[in-house]
Amino acid sequence: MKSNILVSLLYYFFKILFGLSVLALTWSIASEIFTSDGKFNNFFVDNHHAIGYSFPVTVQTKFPDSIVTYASGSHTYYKGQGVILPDKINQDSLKDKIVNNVKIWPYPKPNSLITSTGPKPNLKILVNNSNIISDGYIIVNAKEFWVKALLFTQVYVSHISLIFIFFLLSTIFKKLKVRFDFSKKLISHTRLIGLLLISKEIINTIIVLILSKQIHTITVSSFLNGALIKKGIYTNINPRLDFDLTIFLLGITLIVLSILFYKGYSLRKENDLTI
Amino acid sequence: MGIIVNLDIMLAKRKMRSKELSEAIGITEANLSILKSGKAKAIRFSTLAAICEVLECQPGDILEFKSNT
Repeated sequence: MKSNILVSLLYYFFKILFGLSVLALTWSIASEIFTSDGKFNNFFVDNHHAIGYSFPVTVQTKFPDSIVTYASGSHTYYKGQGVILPDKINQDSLKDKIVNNVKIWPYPKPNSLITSTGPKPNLKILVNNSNIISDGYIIVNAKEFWVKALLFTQVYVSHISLIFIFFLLSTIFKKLKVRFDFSKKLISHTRLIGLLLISKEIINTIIVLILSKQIHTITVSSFLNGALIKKGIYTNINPRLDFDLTIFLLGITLIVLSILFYKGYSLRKENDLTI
Repeated sequence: MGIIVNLDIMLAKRKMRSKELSEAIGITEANLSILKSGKAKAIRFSTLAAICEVLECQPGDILEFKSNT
């Protein structure tokens, strides 16, 4: 009885997800066809042929020799800020110097984020060779048709395969809602979901690998009077191999499970024909 | 050929209908039809015993082995 409720809940959940993802895809395609810049009144889409498509990157920001301003939302925030705001810092010590002011909010636990090396860590914290690394996406556009086509494929292959997976899952749970047993549909759909997950990951990885040769690295550096400021903040944006091992392994597991389901189906069939 | 089910012959000999037999041994007519047509994968000892008791025969009267070669 409990499994029936769970199966019904999952059926409705995946049915709703399927509907929503179809709507999102329709919206995305409609904006590609009917708008010139992906904007429709106050609404806009992230991926559009005129703007560009999402591409996975790793962003690395280095802030050598910086003054770090800590702040928190509590009352002590104002007290702390008052102490380390630029106007309260000894202005003479900052004269003719390049100072990176990195503000961190909320106040981190001591030594959890940045090593403090300054003489008075409560007032001024000097950070040596510190950096922040984060994974994200940038919007990339291309003049060459084949690059644009690859970016387009990368975005829409993920979207379409996700829709198909939601559809297959809703069909599986619909079948299980009627009869909680092994069936041919359960076997074929489980195998298909596994294959979709694996192929989605492989296609995405190949496309990112090809495109990473085109995109290379984006670097943001600081200059003063035409000279590079070595102590200034600089940012590196590198293409990231967006390969999700968990999804890949999940796909393989589903294929193995579908073989097990086939065994279960054969046993059930044999049991049905035992008089 | 393998195992041949001669249930039809025994039913004819005993002048009994399939429906009567299925009711007597407590299985559905559909299942008895599967058994008679040779589509069944296996037969339980309890079902075989019940059939033998009702038809007053031996398992060998119902089941027969025929070699493929």
